[in-house]
Amino acid sequence: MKTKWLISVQDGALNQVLTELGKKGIADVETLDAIGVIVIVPGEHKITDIKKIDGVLSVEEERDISI
Amino acid sequence: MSKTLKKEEKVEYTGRYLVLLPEGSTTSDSISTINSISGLNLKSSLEFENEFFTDKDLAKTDGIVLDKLGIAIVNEKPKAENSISSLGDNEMIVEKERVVYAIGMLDESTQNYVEGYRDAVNQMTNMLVGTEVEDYSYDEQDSEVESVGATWGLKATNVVPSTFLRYNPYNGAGIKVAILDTGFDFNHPDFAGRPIVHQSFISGESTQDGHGHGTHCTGTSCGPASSPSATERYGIAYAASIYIGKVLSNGGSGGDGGILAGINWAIANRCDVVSMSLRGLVNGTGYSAVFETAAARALAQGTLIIAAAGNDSARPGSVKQVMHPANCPSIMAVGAVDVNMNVASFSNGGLYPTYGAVDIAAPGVNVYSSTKLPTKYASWNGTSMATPHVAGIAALWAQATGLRGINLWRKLTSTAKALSLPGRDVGAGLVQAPTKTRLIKFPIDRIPIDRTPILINPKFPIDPIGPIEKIIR
Repeated sequence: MKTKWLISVQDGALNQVLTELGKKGIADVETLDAIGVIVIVPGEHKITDIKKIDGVLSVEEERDISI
Repeated sequence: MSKTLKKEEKVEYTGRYLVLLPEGSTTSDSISTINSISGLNLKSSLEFENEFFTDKDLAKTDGIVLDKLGIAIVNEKPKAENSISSLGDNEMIVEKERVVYAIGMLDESTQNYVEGYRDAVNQMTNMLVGTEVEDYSYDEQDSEVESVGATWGLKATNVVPSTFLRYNPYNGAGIKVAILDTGFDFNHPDFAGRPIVHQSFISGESTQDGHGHGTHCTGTSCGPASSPSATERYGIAYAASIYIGKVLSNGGSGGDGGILAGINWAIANRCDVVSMSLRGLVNGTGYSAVFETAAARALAQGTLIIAAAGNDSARPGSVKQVMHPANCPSIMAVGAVDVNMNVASFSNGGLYPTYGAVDIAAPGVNVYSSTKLPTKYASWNGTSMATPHVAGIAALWAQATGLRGINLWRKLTSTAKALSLPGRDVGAGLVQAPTKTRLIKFPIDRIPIDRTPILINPKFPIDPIGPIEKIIR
């Protein structure tokens, strides 16, 4: 399974961040607009590249969860 | 957030100072004193028409003394920095002025006001048209079923009060509860005919519960009031709307991206309560900023997220920290207790002062509930079992009070039953359901006609001729 990254975004900056992700060629994107979070499959990108995008609050790797 | 251990809030300042002037001093005296001590040139609010001045007016001065309050607002300027401290040595209290924001949700005083208003309206309605719920005709047989036929967890949390003087009229009607877990067994007979909204976030798996864990948690939080095949009542909010989000596979695992998707789905469906009996391991490096942001936004939208503290401890020797995502300050973390009100040996604890607290405790040992067929029912242990107790009771409180989000959180923790156990392990204490007191009607209609009670007006003297029949009730 490909590792995903979880990106929390500032209020009102969702579209702006999505645009920037698109410019970086990140197409595998899931937008959770009620909580202002974007889940991506990052490919060859580095976390620091994503953190630099205006409107990004934090970036974390997806973790495993269990009962 | 009203976590037991509060998140540190960053205080913002305007750059100005507030100076509380000595008691009894006049504005003109104070201005003279401050100006001579500090070298500043303050003005009085009396110099402005109707004592109204703006930020611009304030910026043009070194500061303004509010005549009616005995407080000076002093601008931060290079020359003020050194002189401000000297004011503190002259019976004046100096504080930095804080930035404040309007609070969008009900604060405690507003909440009390609204609750008081509601109670007054209810009381007036009862006076005018009579009471429906309080005027309860006690039926001995029903009471026996209630008090005997329920799990120990439902009794301990007052969902089913153990004294017949109290009863629970709440059932979660009108409240949406999302259970994010392994799904649900839609063939379970106890839920036949019950509408259930569901969505799978696990690729290649339907919401049908192939594990049983999700069905168990759903049973505790939203199971039925009665069942022909269960040995006792196990469900709390039996009239709540059930939302099943499958975020864990039939093997019981998943990624936390799917959990966020489930939370997002629950909020989009306007769920009031989200129950998450799941956890990811953490190694003491803080909590997830992404989950905290998501949970804070959920609270702001009226959705309370409740999560299991985790089962990684082996007490008394080893107490592990509250796991992810329950360790986020804006997620309510639930610890487990047993029937003797001891902390469950496996239940994790709040080990850090600023995050990862256990907020509340609930029954989590030998918890009887529904599970997937063909087993149908099972008694399990875990903070996973404690969490849906809190979720179901949150739904009852939401119905009873109309509170949501952070106010619902406060209601749960403020009404919890204090336990003689460390707050580290049980937070505010054992979660308690809302209840009402019965007003027992005298059963006049059941008295045989030949034993019609003699009505005695206490204002009249007792008849000295004949004996007065004593009514035995």
